[in-house]
Amino acid sequence: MATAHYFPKTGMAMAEHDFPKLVASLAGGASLAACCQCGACSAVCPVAGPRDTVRQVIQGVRSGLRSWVLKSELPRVCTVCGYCTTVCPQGIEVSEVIYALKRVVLSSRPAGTSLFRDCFTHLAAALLPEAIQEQGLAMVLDREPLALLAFGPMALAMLGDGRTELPGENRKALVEVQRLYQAAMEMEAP
Amino acid sequence: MIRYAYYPGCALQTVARDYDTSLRAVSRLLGFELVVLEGWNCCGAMSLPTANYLLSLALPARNLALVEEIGLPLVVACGTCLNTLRRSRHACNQRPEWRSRVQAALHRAGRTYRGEVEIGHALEVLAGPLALAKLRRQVRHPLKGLRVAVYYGCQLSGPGVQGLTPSSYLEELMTGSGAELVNISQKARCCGNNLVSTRPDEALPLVQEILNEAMTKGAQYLAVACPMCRHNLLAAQKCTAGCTPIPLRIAYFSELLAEALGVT
Repeated sequence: MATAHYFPKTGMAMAEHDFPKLVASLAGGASLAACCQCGACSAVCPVAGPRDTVRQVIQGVRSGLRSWVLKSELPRVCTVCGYCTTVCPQGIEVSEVIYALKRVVLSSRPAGTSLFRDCFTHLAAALLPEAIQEQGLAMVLDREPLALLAFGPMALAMLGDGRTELPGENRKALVEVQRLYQAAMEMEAP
Repeated sequence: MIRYAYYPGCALQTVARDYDTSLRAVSRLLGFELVVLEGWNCCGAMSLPTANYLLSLALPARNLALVEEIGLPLVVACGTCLNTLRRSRHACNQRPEWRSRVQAALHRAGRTYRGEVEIGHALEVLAGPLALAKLRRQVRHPLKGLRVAVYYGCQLSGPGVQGLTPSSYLEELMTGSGAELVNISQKARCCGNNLVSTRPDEALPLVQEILNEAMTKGAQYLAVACPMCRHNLLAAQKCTAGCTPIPLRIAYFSELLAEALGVT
């Protein structure tokens, strides 16, 4: 990872001039052009510690440093608390930009990994026998989703104490949501 | 009885059912009828915007379209739902081109959306001046001597557009029910959101700082108003279980109100 204390020299990565445009379009048009690099966003960020700060990542996007930005930890760890947007004196919707970066990061993952696995690794680690944890677990969740049956006992326990219930029939809402999904997939560019 | 459309959201229907039942009971006693929105769908939470921008606006907007059909103001109780629904409305109001795309997508699902719904959090309703006065009158078992700290988390603390405007709703409700307020400086800090599941080693220490502050200041209860916050605070507490002399109980504000109002 690039050091966090100063902005990376452009020599580290080829600038891709379309990158800021791509990010803006994925963020619904939220533009970074007005950013004055004051750093107020970095100051309030709960996760920007020793790693690349919000201000640096924004400048990276504006400079088209795609590969540097995608290597940064920030889009991965951002909790989207929204304080950066709140304090921005230029009115930039910073959280929308981070959402867009999360999306670019997710779509540039190597084949065979999934967000699904990320989310459930820790849950599964607590529930599955040690033998299929670690590396094996990745494969199990990607290729053998039936291993999720191991979650059965937890699901039954949650049903038992009323923390969840079997999904009821809500056919109409489901059909409408499916249509919305299709419409959004067809209408949204990239 | 003042009627509100009520969007429970996924969490209150499953893991946060205590929040749902206590909130409904307390609202009824304070003169509000929460009419559950028929046919609601998940708001997409904080995950959908990382997949598809248009869908992340249109999916919450379908719920808002349902609310427009019944013509009542909307109440939600989950911080994430509040943020997502307000984000959708804000984007549609600010950006005409996205508004027309959202409307076109909703049209395919047979709904129309005009963007006129008022979206409020349950706190805004229950801590209104009249409701507060009613609460003070109706308290049967005052929470006397109970030291309560309040925690809003980030989604409820953002000003104006998406969160509650800087407020003291929780404080007023707790003092109104007779509790002794413990001020903590981290009441608006982020609870870590999904990071607690994906990177617990990094996120849990942040959450533990919040718990530590409440405990060192002598709080017995931490009153929260968001299922995600409670989930993460409990997870952090579990990690430090055994090393803390005073147990801090993390409860939804509505559970404490229900106790004070004598809901059985």
